[in-house]
Amino acid sequence: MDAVTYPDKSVTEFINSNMIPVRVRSDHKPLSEDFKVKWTPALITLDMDGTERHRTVGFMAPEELIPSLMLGIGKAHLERGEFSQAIPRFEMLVSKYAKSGSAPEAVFYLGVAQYQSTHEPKFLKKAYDQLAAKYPKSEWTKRASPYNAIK
Amino acid sequence: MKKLLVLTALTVFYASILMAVGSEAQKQETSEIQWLTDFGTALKRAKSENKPIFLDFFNPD
Repeated sequence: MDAVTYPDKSVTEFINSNMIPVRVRSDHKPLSEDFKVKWTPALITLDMDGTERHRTVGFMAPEELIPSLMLGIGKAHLERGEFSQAIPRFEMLVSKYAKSGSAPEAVFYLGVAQYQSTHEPKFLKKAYDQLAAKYPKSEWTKRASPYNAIK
Repeated sequence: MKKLLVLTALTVFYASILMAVGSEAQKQETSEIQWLTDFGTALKRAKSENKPIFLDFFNPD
């Protein structure tokens, strides 16, 4: 991460502008025990109350780390019911980083966030349709498969 | 008088170079991730700035 990803200008700008970055050793007490860290790098997004909302383990290239962090930020806002802040994060990830590993999960949570903010089931169906079309083999497509029955 | 003018021009020239170098150094400094190491401080800032925390556990070895 130190050799490739963190020196990347787009990564630096994204993190400094959108998040509060904290870096600690993997043997830090009590944090490593509190967060049950077993392998590094463990990259965790916490919401503003310190609750974990997203985690990845292992190296991530810049083009994967930024969408992963976007996903974490979106999930942090979604869990707090802040739909107006969550939805644009998911939308931007889906449009700008469609080929990233985080994109299918973002499509799923975009549908969830839109449904929760409007109570319109059509958004869940739309999420499934998009997942089935773009990411047919994704785990998130399977998880969204019940939404295919929505009329 | 001519020498004074030349001296003044040179002083201004070198001062502007030094300012430019300083400005560039400052840019490079802020182009790094602004890591915190204290979780309590991060939590306070996360709440006050309404931003999520990015927590990186790294292996120093």
